[in-house]
Amino acid sequence: MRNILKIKNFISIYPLIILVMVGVSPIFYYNDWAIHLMILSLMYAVMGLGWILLALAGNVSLGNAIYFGLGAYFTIFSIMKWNLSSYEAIGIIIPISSLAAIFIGYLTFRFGISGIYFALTTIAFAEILRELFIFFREYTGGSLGTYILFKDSSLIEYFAFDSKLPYLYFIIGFTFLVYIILIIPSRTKKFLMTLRAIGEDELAAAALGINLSRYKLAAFIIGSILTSLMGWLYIHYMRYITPDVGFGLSLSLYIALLGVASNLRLEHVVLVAMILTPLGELLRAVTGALLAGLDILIYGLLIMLIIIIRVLMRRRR
Amino acid sequence: MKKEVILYTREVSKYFGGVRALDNVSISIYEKEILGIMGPNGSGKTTLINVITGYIKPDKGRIYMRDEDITGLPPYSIAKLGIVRTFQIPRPFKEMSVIDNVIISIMHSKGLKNENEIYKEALRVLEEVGLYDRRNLKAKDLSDIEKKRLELAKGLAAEPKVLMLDEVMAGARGEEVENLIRIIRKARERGITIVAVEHIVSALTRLADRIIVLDQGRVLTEGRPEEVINNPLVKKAYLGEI
Amino acid sequence: MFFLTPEIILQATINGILLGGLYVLLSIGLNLITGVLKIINFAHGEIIMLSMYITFWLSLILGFNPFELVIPISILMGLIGILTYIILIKPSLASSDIEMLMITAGLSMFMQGLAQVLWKSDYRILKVYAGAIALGGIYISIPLLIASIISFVTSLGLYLFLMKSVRGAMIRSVAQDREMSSLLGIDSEKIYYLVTFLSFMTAGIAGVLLISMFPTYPTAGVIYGLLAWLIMVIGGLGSVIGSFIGGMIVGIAESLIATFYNVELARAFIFIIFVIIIALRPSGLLGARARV
Repeated sequence: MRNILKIKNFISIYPLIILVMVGVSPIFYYNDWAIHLMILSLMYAVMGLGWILLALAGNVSLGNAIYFGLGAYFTIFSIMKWNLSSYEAIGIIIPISSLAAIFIGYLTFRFGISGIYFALTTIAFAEILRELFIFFREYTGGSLGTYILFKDSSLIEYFAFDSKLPYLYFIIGFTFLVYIILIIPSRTKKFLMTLRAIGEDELAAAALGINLSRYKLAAFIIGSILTSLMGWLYIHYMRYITPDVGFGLSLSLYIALLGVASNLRLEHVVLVAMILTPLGELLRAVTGALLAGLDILIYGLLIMLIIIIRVLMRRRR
Repeated sequence: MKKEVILYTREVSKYFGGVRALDNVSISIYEKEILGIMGPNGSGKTTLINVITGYIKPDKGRIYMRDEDITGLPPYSIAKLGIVRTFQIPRPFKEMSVIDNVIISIMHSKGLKNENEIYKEALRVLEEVGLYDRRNLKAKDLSDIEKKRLELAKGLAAEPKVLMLDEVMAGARGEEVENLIRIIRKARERGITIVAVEHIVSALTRLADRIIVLDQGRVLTEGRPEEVINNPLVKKAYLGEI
Repeated sequence: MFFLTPEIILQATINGILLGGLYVLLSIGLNLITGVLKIINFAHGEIIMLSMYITFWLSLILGFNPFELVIPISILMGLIGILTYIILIKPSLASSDIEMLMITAGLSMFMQGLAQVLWKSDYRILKVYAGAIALGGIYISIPLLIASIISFVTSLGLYLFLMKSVRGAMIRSVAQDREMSSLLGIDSEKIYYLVTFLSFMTAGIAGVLLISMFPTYPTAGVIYGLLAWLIMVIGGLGSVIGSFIGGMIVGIAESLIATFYNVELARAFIFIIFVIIIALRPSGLLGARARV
């Protein structure tokens, strides 16, 4: 009996089923707010996927927002200052985010910076860019942020729609595609297994001929591209960005939280994102209106509870 | 029959603070031999492996593979050149299954690309070391002896030119030792050169074609097993341990 | 941009030195708790912020001068530290580095939210006398001077305590090797309590000193916490003197750049120094090789 996928699959396919369900749901229940939540959740999910790749290899980044911010801002520059189309903008942000990842990655992987020092370095880089983007306010609008205005609504030029649905189906399709690429090809399986091995034991991995820096860099670059593409999507959807939203620590932390809550398993990210994101948004909407700051208070409390429960459950095992 | 030298060191020295872990060590390793390296604790056996495989840079001396100078290359490069080492305390990828551990080794050596072939080869290796029945367990759930076998399996699966085993027999008794000897001999028949570093002498004498003895970082003597174990200098070096 | 007169440079430098002296205190508590408990405390800045708020309200309502409140607030914060240890830190000691980081990140968000709920986002500032001593052409702000001196004295006191006292030696030994220390009969749990107390206490003092000059608001902890981290990394984990040097570097750099350009650039510059240090000397200028 021929079994093609002999090497046990690293990812199961249930996220695809969830995606299909999400895609079909507007037919049964159309709600603007719900669709907004689903778009946001899936955007975070993709960023979570990108984050997990490097985390598997043992490097926890707390500055992935840097790629989101770069993607969003350079999309604005491309479209509003350099007169490019939405699609040409993609051609700009991918090299830029990759270069950023290469720069940070080279600095840290070559020098063997890992663990908490790596996390701090990524935080530092994101903060540097946040401050710089505030500083150069003539170009970026400073801390108040900047809008994007599409000169006309031709779809050939711009990925701009009045309705939310196109964005929803775009992100569903994109996430679907990413998962397909992660599940099926043998090369990805080798890539993911190797990343996990590196995360488990770098010395043992090196003894088997695994080039640690190269794999880590690859994971970092792929993560950066995925994240910056979400920045691209975000600016096309929300039409507004500030340095805090784009490069902020809370975004980086949230992406990491999704990864941690998924147990570093790629297949769980969609579900986790679809639970936590609406919760967070709901919290902000309900309590934020009630009492400013209550949402952050409860969110912080929840994070502490989630992790402590995880730790205590592990101790029992 | 003239034997080719596949790996050799020239006056390799390594100091840790004031301690001479390796002192002017020049050894040659011949193709397809089973070379034993032995010596009392602290004689530099593991340091030698670490230096040859790139985990530690020597302070003096060079290491060559055939004619190529491989001194100072990072561990992964040396592994890619065909020199694979195992670790004294096994380092399995704990959360991964036994068979996945072997699969990774196969994936990163030359040759097989096809998933089917890789899987079949992994099963073959596991069968050879006797871990076939444990193949789907997580590596962390293996017993200590099984972990040692997995360590060996990973090394063998890489089909290296030279396999450097760091105390693979440690802790093994009786039948286990016989098993390991058998497996290692079979590997040599497939063309792999074996360098076995051991602390316990008895197993090495039956396994190795030739033995080099280290003491305090220096090469004490070398020769056939019978010669070496009857050498009074060697006995003295080991007695110093007691 | 100003003219680059030597007076302005000197003024900025002296301000920087005084500021640096104050900044040292931000980081010492963090250094202690990270080095001994081996935990990553993201909420350190928020502890400072809490202390700033408490001092603010006590000052305003009871009419105290913040400097008079240094001792009571420091003890109060220390006790809050003990409470935090019991409720949060002790249960989480078994977690991985990243999990601990997320727990304290959650704590920091919780505290920011709490501050906003309780006291709104308005900037709160105390009206302390803003006098200055004139020395030549240089003006030395009196509150800054006092704060810097108190900070220096506290840091020195802590340093002497760590180096000369028996308890201090125990702390250092637990930081180096916890298991060995327990074999030697040192109760590491009690040391953990002590270190947490000291960490919160020094952060508390830092807060008191800061509120005498700067405003407080719910997210004030973010900047001070980040500065504390930077100084700790620059100066080195486990080294009080390193924290001192790190604080000086940061204080002087920030003062000079902020005077001639502006604050954001100063901050970005400090981060760049941070990255350089991490790349070249991850253990900091004087730090021990941390087992993180």
